Amino acid sequence: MNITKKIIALLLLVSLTFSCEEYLDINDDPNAPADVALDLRLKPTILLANGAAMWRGTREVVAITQNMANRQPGQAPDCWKFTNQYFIWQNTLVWTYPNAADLIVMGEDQGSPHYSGAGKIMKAFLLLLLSDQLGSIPYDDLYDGRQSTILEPKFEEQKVVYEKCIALLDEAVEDLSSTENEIPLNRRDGDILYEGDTEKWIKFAYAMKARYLNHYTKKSSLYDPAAVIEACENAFDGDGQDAEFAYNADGGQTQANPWSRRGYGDFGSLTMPRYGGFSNFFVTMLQSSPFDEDSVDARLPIIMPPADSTGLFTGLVVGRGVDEGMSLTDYSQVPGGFYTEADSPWPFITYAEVKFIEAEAKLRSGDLAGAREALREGVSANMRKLGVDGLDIADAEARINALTDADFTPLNAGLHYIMTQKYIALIINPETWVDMRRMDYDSTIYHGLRQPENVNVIFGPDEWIRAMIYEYNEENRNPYNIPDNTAEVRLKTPVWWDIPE
Amino acid sequence: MMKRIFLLVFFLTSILQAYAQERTISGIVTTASDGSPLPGVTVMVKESLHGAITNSEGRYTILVSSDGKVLVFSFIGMKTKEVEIAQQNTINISLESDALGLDEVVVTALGIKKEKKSLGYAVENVKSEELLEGNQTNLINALQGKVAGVSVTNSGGAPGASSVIMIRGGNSLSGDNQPLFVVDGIPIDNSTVAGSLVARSNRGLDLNAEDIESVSILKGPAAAAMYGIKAANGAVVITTKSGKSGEAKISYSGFFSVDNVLGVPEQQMDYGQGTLERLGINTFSTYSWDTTKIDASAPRFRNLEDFYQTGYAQNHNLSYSGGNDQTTVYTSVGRLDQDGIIDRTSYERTSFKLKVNSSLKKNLTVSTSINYVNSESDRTRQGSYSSGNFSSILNFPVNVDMSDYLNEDGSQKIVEELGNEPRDNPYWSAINNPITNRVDRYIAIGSVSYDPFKFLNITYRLGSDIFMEKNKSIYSWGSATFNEGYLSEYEVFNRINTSTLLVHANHKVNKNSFGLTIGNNVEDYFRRSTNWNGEGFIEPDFVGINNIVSENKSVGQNITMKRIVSVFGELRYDWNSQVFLNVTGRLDKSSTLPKSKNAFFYPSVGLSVLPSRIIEDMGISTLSDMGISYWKIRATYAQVGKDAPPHVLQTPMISATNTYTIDPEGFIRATFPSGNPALLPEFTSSFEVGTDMRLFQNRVGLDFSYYYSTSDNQILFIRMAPSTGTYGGYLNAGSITNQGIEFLLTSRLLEKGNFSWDMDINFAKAKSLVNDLPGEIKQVENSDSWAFNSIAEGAAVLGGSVFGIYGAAYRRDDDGNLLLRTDGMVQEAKTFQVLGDRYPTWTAGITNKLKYKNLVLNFLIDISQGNQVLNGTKAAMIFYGMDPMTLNRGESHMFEGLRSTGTFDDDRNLIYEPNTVPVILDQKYYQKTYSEIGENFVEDGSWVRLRYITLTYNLPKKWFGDKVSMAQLNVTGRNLIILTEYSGVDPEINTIGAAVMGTGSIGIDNLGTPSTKGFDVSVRFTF
Repeated sequence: MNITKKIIALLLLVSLTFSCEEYLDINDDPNAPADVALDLRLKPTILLANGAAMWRGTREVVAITQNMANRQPGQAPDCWKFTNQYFIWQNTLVWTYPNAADLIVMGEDQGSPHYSGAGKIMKAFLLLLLSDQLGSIPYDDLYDGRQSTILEPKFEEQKVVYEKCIALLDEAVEDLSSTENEIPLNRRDGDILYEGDTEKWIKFAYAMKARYLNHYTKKSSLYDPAAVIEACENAFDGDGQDAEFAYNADGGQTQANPWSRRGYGDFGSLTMPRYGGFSNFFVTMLQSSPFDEDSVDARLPIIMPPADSTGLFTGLVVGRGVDEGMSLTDYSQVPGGFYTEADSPWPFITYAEVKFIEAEAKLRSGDLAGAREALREGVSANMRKLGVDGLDIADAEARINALTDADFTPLNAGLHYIMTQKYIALIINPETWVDMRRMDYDSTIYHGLRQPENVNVIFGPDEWIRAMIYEYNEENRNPYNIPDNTAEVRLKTPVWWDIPE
Repeated sequence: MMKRIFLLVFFLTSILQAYAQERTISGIVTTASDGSPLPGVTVMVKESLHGAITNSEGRYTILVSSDGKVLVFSFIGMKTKEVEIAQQNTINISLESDALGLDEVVVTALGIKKEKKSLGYAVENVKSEELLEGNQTNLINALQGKVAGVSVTNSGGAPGASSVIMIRGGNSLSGDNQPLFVVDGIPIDNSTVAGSLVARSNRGLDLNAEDIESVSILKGPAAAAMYGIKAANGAVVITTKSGKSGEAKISYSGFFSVDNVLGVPEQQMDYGQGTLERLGINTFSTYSWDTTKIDASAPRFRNLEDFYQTGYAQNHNLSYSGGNDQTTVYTSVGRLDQDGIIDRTSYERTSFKLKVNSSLKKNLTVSTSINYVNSESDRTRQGSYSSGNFSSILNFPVNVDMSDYLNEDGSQKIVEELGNEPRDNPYWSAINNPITNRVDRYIAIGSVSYDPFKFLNITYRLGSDIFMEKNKSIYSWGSATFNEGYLSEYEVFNRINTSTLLVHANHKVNKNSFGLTIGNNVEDYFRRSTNWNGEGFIEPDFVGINNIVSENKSVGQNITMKRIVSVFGELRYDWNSQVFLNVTGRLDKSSTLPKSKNAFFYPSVGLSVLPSRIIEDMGISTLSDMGISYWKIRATYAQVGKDAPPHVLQTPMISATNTYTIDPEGFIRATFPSGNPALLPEFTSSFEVGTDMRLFQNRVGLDFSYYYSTSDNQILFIRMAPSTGTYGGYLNAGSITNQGIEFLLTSRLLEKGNFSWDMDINFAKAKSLVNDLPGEIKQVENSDSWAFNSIAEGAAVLGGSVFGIYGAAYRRDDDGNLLLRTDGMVQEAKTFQVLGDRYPTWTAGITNKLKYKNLVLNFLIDISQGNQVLNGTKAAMIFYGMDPMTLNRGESHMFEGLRSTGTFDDDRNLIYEPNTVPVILDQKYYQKTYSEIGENFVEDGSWVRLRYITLTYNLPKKWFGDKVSMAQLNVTGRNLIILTEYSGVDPEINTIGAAVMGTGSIGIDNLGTPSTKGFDVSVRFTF
């Protein structure tokens, strides 16, 4: 009897210790908060969209667009020798995009549509940045903060992705216009773009919409210059509205502008910087300005420093490397210019770009005077931004005013003015690669543009790079959905908007 | 109330009665062979829990109650003897040696000793002497080749380097495949810190083999059902030495050893510094790609070979053992000093152990033990890292003297080459860029064993395994990698607390014995790792975090917590010691699973039958006529559950920064693991049958096992496509089956006069097969196992091995023809492919013991066949132009294959035609093509080695008189002969170390410190 009781008591004791739910309640991650407040999520999303996704989507593209060039001959980005180790993909889809998706659903769940709107602009920007370089990408099967993980996301045609992203920008305008909003965007200084000014966010959404609608220029059935112009009219309408934030010159390396010497972009070394300097193509463009009395664009010394050893502005020939008998100090280096100081902002999109988009749309719709007017304001806005002397700005404006319809005929002549000035205003922006492909790298538009020296052998003399190669991690882990990823196919096959219809 | 008093009185009287009827029996136990007294023999009253242990003179005293009829004498390595108690008060007996362990007692789960014959599964025991053979400093290495189905792989020749141990292959695609380590009933940590920068230690290294009495290897979940989750991969159950009652003994053992590299990869001696540039060869280079041979008279430097020196080690152990019949004490100190084969590398270990057993009251035993270990190691960087010493040596072509590394002002000579990151000279690094590691570890165990009644035993045990690790990694001022210095430190606090309550009950009715054990187990795991680092010392000569400006410093912390509460039971039935049936069940509740579904149950059933005894009892002598003296058949079915890793149910928020991108300055969604709130426990089910047979007066023993296990619905970490929004996460998916056979032959080959020769052969053949993976996934990679230049990595492959090699291959058409570029050059396949299998098709170990008078010769021949190795080291040698293969540089070669015409057919497919275009095998070919294709570096890594050979001389006792009871001298040679086709140094390789989970990194050779061979001289005295 006694023994049985003892055993039962023991068993009870055992089961008592066993029922300690509280004792086992230690599985929440002790290393970081499980939930971070919505108003603390916006700033990191904006920072990553710029300094992770856009940076990794520009780092190599600046060589394709011949903004910059390597100090050594035949280097991969200059000469289009890309492989499946191009990492815009993971920096956008793993590091950045899920945070934009979180902003959207958290905004919805927490009665704060302004965050959903900001999230939607970021989402549209990130996915179209990707799609513009790669073509088809997943959309519906991506992480969306709601559905459980889809292991092998289906890829969608770029046309569909564009439709969905442009619709997203319209939704963003609606969300940001909402008068019922629980958590203000800038409650804890998280809105590093506009300090909570939703009007500017709405203009940002329209600016993006204008940019992407304008990508349809080769699609005769879709391209609608009136819609582009309408979007432009709703977008930025003056200085001080550009979508940008200042990098931090006083923080660590990963807080400083990546194109600066202090930043994380590998421009720190005096002898082995990521790029040896700005390109000969760009320097020449600035030195043959039609809008300056002595042909030298007043922005040249603002955008880049002169060569250390000569005091002259000299660019590297893309694909050739440092010329014989010369050294790196004989060229204008990348860091130390207007866009390349440690605290320089690096805009997503600017008022000037909106004006150039408007100019192109007006030109294509036959409004040549309107096109010139928009061109003038674009150039002027960019010069004002760069702090160009007022007299120089007035001179440039006067020279643009002096242009006639004849100067803008045929189309490529007008495009030459607009796209060259857009190229200068958008220096170091991946959007330029979209423009160059839309213009088919035409040297009647971009005077002096040539294939790089030592170009990848798979390219024939008239062939130009059309797209990038998907990252190998996607190729290896989602092999049945990814399009043909061989270099010959990927680098030479135009994305959907680049195929004339 | 009255009833209670009555019960109490009844209870007391029954105890008094028990006392009244007891009497004392004493005696001496000796060995049958030479009549010497046998200390440590367990004497038990049969079917009771009463027992005693013989003292140093073989004497015992035991209380026997009136119903005690038989005394059972058992001792490891001796045949168990049963003696009926008649009227005598003295029972002197002698035990016969049982090399074949017929009635061997083995330690099973939770420290429970069981007769091996009663077990339904395979257990192998490694005794102290066997463990010490070969003088391995890493306890795990001491198991190499000695147990069937156990594979142990070193991670190279650095002192203190980790070893990975696996029993019966791999059960897990992404989790740990190593067994649980248990010391005196409590689980201890054998983890290895992840990261391949240095050869890190596995924490099992802290255990001093001299303190160990025996090691039982419980294979597979069958043996481990009682340990739960962590023993799904089997268990290594370690029993440490206890004091023996009687005269106190002091023992000393020590060895001196000399080690050298087993070898270095062959290097070409014809071409020196040079690299191809636009204008021709630039001879100011760290590559060996010159196209003109070095002048015959010019000096040549074997920088690789000369870098390694002779490593010396010494080990001293002093132990004290003694006590009386009630209390015994064992205490020891040990000290190991090992210098590496690289200047300034070392491993030092100091250990202290105290173990006290006391049974002052006759039915109460209290035991306490404490083990303190301090280890310190100095390490160098290795592997693919630019600062790894092996890969740095490759930057010194044959015409450059690497040992000339200082400028006149004392600063380092740095070779800066345009386009290449400059590297530190390995000699300079060894002195100025050290990595030091210090561990303080405490293992404390306390237990109480109480027998309230004859049939009942209650044991409670509390154990704590705590270690603190400090690691400091430095680049000094003047380093080529960090010009102004760099410091990185981490500190770990790691604790496992275990509480175990066991209640055993036994009952016997006629020939039927019943046993029941019920237990409760609580395990609490906590780990905190804090790290800080910074770049640029303010004052060049001082190394410390305070010497770095604040914006260049960063700090981080990682905490892991896990708790498991379990109840379990075991029911034993034994019919006449001839049929044994065991049923177990365990219910675990783990903190790592979703709260509503965190409990899971798993059972096991085991059966063991001794037909030899049954037949004997029936009076039939057929078996013994056939020479079969013992025959056992066993079978077990078992299941074991496994929980999730801690903190993975929800996607965490992080403030991390990807390389070359911006600091998010706040929290972002973690890039991995993506949380999965719906994780379920995974289960491994296994079935095992076996037989054990002794023949010819026990001179030959045969043991055979077959097992089959399936691990389904694994909690799997899957690397996912970036489009999923994460690098990977955990999910329930995947299935692995493991099957294999194990065969053990023990034999006394020869016995003639003073000469005997024992030979044991163990053989294992195992196959781990991946049956199913989620979605369209074809492999589970572990990118921690990347070899040089990411040419290939370890991966578990669908429809193939858990230990596959997955990497870059040549591009081929469906018929296997090489597809060449328009210029006739081979090219890399679009996606990675399965390139090989690192797991051996079979392994065997042959241990030999030849004895002549006082001389004993032991040697172990260890065999592994069919394992492939990924030779990343060779890929690097070729990349740098150092490998002899590159001597054909500049030659023309035409690849056989189909060449692209560069034109497309109507379906936009490239058109190919048979190749007629030769290519030049130059630097570009070797660097950009050949060395990047992992397929070129997968080799057969089969080997046969003489793992050790030891000659022992037992000094005659008469030399020392009474002062010394045992004196022994031995000489050991390690790794003296290796037969292999492998082109690298040693195909038994795991450069990246034991930390890599799942598919692991065994068989991946990647610029590590080469393995060593060496000699030891050791002595052993007992006073």
